[in-house]
Amino acid sequence: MPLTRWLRSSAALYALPLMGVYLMFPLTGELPNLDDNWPGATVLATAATVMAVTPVCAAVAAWEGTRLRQGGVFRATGVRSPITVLAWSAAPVAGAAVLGMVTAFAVVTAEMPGVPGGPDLLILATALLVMAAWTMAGMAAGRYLPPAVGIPLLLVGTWLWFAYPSALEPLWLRHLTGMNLAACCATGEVFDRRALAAQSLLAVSIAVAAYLGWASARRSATRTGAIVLVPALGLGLAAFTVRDLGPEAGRPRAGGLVCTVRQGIEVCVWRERRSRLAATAAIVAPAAKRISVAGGVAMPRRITEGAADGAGTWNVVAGRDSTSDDIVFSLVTGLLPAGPPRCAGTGSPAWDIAYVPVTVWLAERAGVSKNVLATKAGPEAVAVVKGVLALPQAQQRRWFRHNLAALRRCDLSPVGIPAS
Amino acid sequence: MPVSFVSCDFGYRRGSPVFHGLDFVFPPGRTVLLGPNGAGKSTLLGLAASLFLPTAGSVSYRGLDPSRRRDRSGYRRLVGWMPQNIAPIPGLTVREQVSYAGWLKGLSRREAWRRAPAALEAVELSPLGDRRCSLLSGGQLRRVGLAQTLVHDAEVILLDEPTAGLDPRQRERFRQIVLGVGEHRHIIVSTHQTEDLTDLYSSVVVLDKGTVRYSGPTSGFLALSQRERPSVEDAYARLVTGET
Repeated sequence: MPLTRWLRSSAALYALPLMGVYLMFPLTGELPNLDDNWPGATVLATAATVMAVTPVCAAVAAWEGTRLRQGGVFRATGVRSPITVLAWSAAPVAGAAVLGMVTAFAVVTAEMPGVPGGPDLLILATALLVMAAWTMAGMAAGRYLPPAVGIPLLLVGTWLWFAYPSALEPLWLRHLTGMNLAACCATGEVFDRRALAAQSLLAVSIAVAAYLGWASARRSATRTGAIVLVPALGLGLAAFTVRDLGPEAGRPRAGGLVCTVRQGIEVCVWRERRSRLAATAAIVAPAAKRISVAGGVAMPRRITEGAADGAGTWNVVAGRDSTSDDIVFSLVTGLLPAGPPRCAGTGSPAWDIAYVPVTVWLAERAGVSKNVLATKAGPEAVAVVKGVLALPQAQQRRWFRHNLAALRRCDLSPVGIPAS
Repeated sequence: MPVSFVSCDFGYRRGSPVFHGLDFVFPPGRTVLLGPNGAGKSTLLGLAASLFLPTAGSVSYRGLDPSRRRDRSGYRRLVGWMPQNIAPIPGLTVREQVSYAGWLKGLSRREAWRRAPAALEAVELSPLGDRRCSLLSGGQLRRVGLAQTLVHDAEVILLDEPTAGLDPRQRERFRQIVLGVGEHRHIIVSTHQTEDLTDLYSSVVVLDKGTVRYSGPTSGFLALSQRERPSVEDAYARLVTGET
């Protein structure tokens, strides 16, 4: 039969508009948060496709399985192997899935002009594996379940599986589904391969169980046991693989920096931001000097988007939409403690009181405009700092150093900052 | 020789054995398989079609035994089977369904598509080739089922109750078609319909409770009738129930 005729008869063709419309929701909703790196773009494109297209694929596959059962194909004493029959029926569904993926990548790629590199093939392959597994599960379900049960079950069931674990605990649950939206990746991150391994493990186990169910309706304890145990084993192994992951699957990136030297300071940005390296260096080198003078801290040898110790190496973020104020502000926040100290029983009152004013003061001294500070920190914090800025330089420095210490310790109270 | 059964045992999972030590060879040409309900006719055809595999013994055709994995494809290519109920595959036209059946039987997609019109021609369904199968009548669907066995040029065609539920006009048309396609093939038909049996079939097999009561030429079967004008019903009744 000509391929066009086979495609015409497949429900996948008629489900395409639904897939397309639904795909645009997660995709366009998350586009503004897309960072300038291909792992992040790949995660967005694949997660949106997995979320929007896979449930439809599974439901359509359930219909295809039902269709073959209704048409007596399993009793037709054919010579084609079960996998061939499955592949031929699932081909239009797979085609629709690939089309969805291509569309998602087309939309995402339009947001990545000039960003070097390309899609992360491992993330892409994992997503395709997840989609294939659920499509096979749909085919197998269609072989046994009535369409009024099988199709909605696959459509809603898979959607729930992809949508809800990211809002549930335990945290490792979300890393099993293959729907990685918001799980990764800022430009300074890479996707933790353990999450991909877990998703692949579970997908393969689902596919194997689905195939065992598809290949023969003959009941045997071994087959039934395998259909139950294989995915259970896959789930167990996958959960074990990601047991230590937190809410996100990103981990710090180890390499990929490009550097230049400006005013004696080595400035490094991610290679995706090579074109902004000179401009970033021109912003951060003088800002670092101003911070050093104002706060009485030693000049850094290196300012980098990679790992920094806050002493000889400072951290900066020069994102795709960052203004010069944003870049300087990130330099300031990178220099301050990342989080409050763990104070037994008392919480961290100093942090709650002093963090914002200290940040605003340092950012103001580093050159961030007052308007931007008011936007970022609120007018109250700016008003507090205004009083500090009226003090002599030495007194300002003492104020800063005392409050910086208060941010790091539990036994020191902030000074010169009214508690709100 | 068409399909043969050697020391064949078969039973469904939760029932008593249907066949035990069945030794039997279907006669060549057009054969009608008669027997009361529950005699094992559909099971015998299912075994011949390789839909079921015997639990002991063997079924074979031309030396190919479908119980052996290496023989199964070859066997199934040579043996076509039409079950009692022909169901349309939703969304497919008549030609597409016949073509798909050919593909399932090992033809390439292109070859199956090319051969489908001839199979439809043989069952007088050519004008309906582009109609959805789901829109066909019961009689037309049976002819689609027959075309599905012809498209891959099966040497043995097994038809399980092909005229059950059809009105007399459709039954007559189906018989004529079977007559037309059976020239160079072995056709085995399980049926309850005994009218015109002598015109259509060269051999008769009577099955009762898993045992072959008669297998031989139609004339020999009719000779079992002891009436002045030999009748199929009388011969059948003598074999199966011992009635006169």
